[in-house]
Amino acid sequence: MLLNRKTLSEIIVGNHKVIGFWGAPPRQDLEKASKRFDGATFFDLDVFYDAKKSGAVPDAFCHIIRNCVDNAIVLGDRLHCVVAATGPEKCDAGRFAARLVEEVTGVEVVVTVNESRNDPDAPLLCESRGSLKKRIIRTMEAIIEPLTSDEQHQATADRCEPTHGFWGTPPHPIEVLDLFLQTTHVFGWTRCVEQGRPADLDLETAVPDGLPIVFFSQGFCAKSMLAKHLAHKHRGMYVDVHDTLSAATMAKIEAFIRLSRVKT
Amino acid sequence: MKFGDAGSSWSKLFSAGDDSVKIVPTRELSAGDLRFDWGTGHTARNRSKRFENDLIALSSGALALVDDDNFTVLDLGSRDAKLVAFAGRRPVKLDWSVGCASATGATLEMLGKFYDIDWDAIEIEDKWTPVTCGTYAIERIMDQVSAGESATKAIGRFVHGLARNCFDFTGKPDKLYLSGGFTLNRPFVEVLRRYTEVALMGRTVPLAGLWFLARDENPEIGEIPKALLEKTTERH
Repeated sequence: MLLNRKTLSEIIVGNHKVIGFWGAPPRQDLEKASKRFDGATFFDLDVFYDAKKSGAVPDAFCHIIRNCVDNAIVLGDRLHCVVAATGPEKCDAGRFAARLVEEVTGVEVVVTVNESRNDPDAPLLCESRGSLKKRIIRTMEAIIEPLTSDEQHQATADRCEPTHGFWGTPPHPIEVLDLFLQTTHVFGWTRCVEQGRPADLDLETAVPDGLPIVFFSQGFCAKSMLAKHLAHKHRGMYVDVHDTLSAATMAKIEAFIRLSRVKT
Repeated sequence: MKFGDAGSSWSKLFSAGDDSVKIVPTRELSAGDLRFDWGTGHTARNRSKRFENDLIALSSGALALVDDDNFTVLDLGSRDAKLVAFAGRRPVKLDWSVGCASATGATLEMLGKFYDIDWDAIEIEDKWTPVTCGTYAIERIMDQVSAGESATKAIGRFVHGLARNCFDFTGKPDKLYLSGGFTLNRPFVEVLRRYTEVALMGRTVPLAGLWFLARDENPEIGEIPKALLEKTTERH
């Protein structure tokens, strides 16, 4: 299976349709879709591509879900189908968005639930040294294109002791991650995805004691309840971001990172 | 070495070797080409060789000047409120109310000029005006004055409401370290003390923070000058 890394407009004017997906659907469902559509490439609808606002989702709503819906609507008949994560590994909004996209676009939506009860995989990218943004983007890409053995060896070799933690989903805007040091370990749902258990609430809420962690929540996401609770429990910092990264939020994250660094 | 905390309304300036901190209206800086070696504040970014965001400068100063393990500092100035709280000297709360700016100093300064207020004559009653936005506060005060209320009483209620908002914003600590221009506002400090113990730190905590950050990089600049400490250690 291959991930399509083109822009929305390139796909619209191109000759090839894509398979849209959001969240972390079960691998067998992704493979089934790939087979049905002759190896068509996959396009991650969670990602912000500056799609025109469809207005189908209220303004006061999770920006990631809005990305999923607006991207699907803009792509319309350029989609073979959408493989949608709709179970506890995503959120109720994933389930609602699946219905909405099917009704608005007429595109087939394959509703999936990822119970993911296998033994957890190793958290390679989550614990390696390097750009947090690159590591989290690669973690999400690995849903379609797993790490090569070279990448696995490199991530293992680059494993580092953490100075900080980032907990949460890949954020919008993704530039939030540029504020973090290379020695930041990843927790929460993003780690669950790398470990192959996106619906594992125990894994999602597991963080080490004593590590300064930013608990990130996308504005209007139900996970904000977890983020706030965990930040209080572990003396971390709770951050809630909706559409844009304000100067105040940037300053808060920068200050927290500077002032709470664990010496390694 | 020049240090500057250039806020929206007032700028606090200090050069190594000076006897005191200069406080000048920020608008006077706009036309000039004054540069800082270390700067913080809304209007300092483009004139500073090293810029530190307001929360970092405030936290650095507070950590250097307060010995407590657990403490909360509120910096209340002309445009916004900044909050830093530490537990075990580790930050547990950092907040900055940038969006709704008008509930702080600029509103009070404007109201004071508009009604020609003697701040020592402000009366603080048990009643307060429950608004968080200065624009609504101005409307409310004007309504009250039009209805025959004295401006000093109406503004007193707003100041009382502002103190309550600050107390809520800070998480209702038993003791609050207060920094910024509001340390000079007697009615505000007086009414805040009805809710919590208040330790006044003056207007130079962020500047002191910059000094300590500079000293971390270059110990040769030496101990913090008295001018940055005199106001910061003030207690009432």
